[in-house]
Amino acid sequence: MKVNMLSRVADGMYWLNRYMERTDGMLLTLNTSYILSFDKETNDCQGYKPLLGYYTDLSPKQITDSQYDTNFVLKYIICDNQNQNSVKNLVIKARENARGSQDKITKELWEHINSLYHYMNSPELPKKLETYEALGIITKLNKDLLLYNGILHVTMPRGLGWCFMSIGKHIERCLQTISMTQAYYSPINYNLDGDEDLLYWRRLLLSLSGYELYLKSYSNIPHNRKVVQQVIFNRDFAHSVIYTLELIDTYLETLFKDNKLSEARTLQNQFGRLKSYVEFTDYHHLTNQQLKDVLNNTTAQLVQFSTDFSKLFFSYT
Amino acid sequence: MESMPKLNPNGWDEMFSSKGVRSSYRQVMQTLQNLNQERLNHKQNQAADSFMNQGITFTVYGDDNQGIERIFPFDIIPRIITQKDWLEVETGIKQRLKALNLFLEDIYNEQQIIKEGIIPASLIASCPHYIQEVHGIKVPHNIHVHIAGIDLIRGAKGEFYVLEDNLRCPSGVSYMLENREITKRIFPKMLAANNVSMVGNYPMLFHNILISLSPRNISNPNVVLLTPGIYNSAYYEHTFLARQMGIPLVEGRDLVVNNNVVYMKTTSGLHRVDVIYRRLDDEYLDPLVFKPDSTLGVPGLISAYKQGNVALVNAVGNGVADDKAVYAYVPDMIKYYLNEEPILKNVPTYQMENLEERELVFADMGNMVIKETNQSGGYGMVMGNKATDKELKNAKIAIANNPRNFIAQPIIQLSTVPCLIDGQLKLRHVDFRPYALCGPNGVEIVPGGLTRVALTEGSLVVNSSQGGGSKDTWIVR
Repeated sequence: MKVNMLSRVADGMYWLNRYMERTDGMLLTLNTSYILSFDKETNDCQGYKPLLGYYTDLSPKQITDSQYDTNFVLKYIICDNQNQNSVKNLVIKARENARGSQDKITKELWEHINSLYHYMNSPELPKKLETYEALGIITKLNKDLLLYNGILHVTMPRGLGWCFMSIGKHIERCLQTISMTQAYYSPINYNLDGDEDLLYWRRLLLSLSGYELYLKSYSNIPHNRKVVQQVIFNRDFAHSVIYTLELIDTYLETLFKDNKLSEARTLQNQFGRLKSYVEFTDYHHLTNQQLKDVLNNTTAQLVQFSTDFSKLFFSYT
Repeated sequence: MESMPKLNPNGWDEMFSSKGVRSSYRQVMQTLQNLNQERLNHKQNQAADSFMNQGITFTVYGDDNQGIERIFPFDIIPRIITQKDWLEVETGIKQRLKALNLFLEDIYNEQQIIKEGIIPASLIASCPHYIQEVHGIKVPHNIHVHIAGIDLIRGAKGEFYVLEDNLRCPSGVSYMLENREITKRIFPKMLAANNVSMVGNYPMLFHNILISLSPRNISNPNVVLLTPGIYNSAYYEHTFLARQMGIPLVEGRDLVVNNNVVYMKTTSGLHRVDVIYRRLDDEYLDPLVFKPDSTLGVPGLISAYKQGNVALVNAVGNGVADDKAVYAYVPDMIKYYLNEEPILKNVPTYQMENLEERELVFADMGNMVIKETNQSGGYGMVMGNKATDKELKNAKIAIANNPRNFIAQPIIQLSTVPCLIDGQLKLRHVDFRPYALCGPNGVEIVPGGLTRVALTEGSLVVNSSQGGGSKDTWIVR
């Protein structure tokens, strides 16, 4: 049976999942950097810089000043009220969107987001982050986000709401993957023929949940080109750019099935061009400059697509 | 745990008589006595956590503007009403609602009740909730009140009184339903052993009524719930009911009126709306007719409603029937429209417009409660026995300046029910709000309701906005 969905509610569900995906990615990156900060690696020239660079509004100088300051980073990323992208603020925003679409999300999903919200608002949390409990808190939050995704998959009906949520999630994930990739390729000038070791790349791969897959899929050095293959072009890797774009394409197909508007056709074509751009890039012969361009152009086109998508479906005010 | 708290000799306690535990409460008492303080506290915390996790909360803002979410306190000890008492309540409310619906149909059309001198015209004309804009309207099945929350209290001998009628957007029904769900979890055996009537079919009954009001004769009319939005204190209830009935929860900005037809804005274009269960007060419904600066409503909604293209639940203008000054005339309405004696009594009410009654009240202010006729939720209320001399003096001045705006009632000691406070049974005052649904097939009342508790010792104010809590209410068969 065809079910209509309020534009406002669709907007809320889309952003609910974007915020939760952002939180998930950020916590994973934080967890990786925090745990690796205990190993005093000689080649760790970045510390928390990739995390702070993509997920916060801090200036380059502030990032440089705090890129090795674990105490500051933990509090700033997890529970700082002034940081618009702290886990606390993202969960607040996610919950607000969940409240606005409460009649379309399941009770189980709502209760999970709500209990996460209460946990993030507990007054003792900032103090605990200064103690040995910090790692336990990050682990708990990581698990909460995994649980969120599990509850989402198990309980939510596969209707329009699911499509909007999934598109939101994968736009966010795609942007995260690209930005994290840029954060590790930019310091080496996108050098695909360089000889950075696995210690260098594991930070990126762990931040994207792709370290194990990488170890299983690729043999030995050199890594620079193989990592690009994994994070951008590997269709089996759930965080790769191509995988996320394919999923967006699938859900767009469902949304546009009964939509005969010319704007819908235009948007679908726009996304098709974006996906083809990545899909038909030959990574075997990719040059350093081409890699940089692919990442920059894909980001720009995806941001534009996201804006046009919102205009088409969520223009309710 | 102390088994029997000290009773008020001038009041009615639901659980205890002077001879001990009432028979309907024996099993409950036994269960409570078998639990130590730790277990009871655990159950109380379990209930609180459940409310918190479900988001059944309201927000309190501190000095730092950081919102802290609080739950509406829930006391785990149920309030029990026997079948015999319930039958009186049920028939009394059905009778009352029938008369109130006839009154609203009459007052917005022929106004026979005024012409025959039963109710003074001046009382209606001066009522701020009489909506001139809907005079002459014909509503589906002549039903104006589809959902009513009738507040009842019990006097010193256990007799029921109607304290007030809530005929606009009565809230709290989600607490009636959620309280029962919590009780199932914390006292499953006790609940099963007491043969308690079910309340869980309320959303289905209500949904059927909403569907029956559709102006279009189609099999699947579009019924929506209109909420003021996520910052409204009753937002949880709105989401709860929308989810339970499977209907869209819309805000004013989601709706648009085109050519006197209401549509909702969906991702696939405009979709016609047939029935709106609105949780917005009349004055916010349509900025073209009421408050022009309000963004909560829908421009053109009243026009669509008057054309009969959309049904509003409850109907517009019901406030005239639950005005506190009009309340005093409900027994007369019952006699006039139904030719019956009222089954449920009103609390004696003095009209401050009447000079004689006003003098009577002024002479005995310490035993009176003064209420503003157009306020609810415990606002605008002065309890004579608690107020300072200055407050009483100010109340007299306010009454003298605008007597139509006030009524007075003798303070009635509400009945008490034991509550679990600091691990002990302590008596607290309660009222009772059953929810009645009125559809083409008559009035239906699910056997239950919301028991509100004044948690402060000695307080008679049960409103949640004034620090009240709630209890599960069992109608035992």
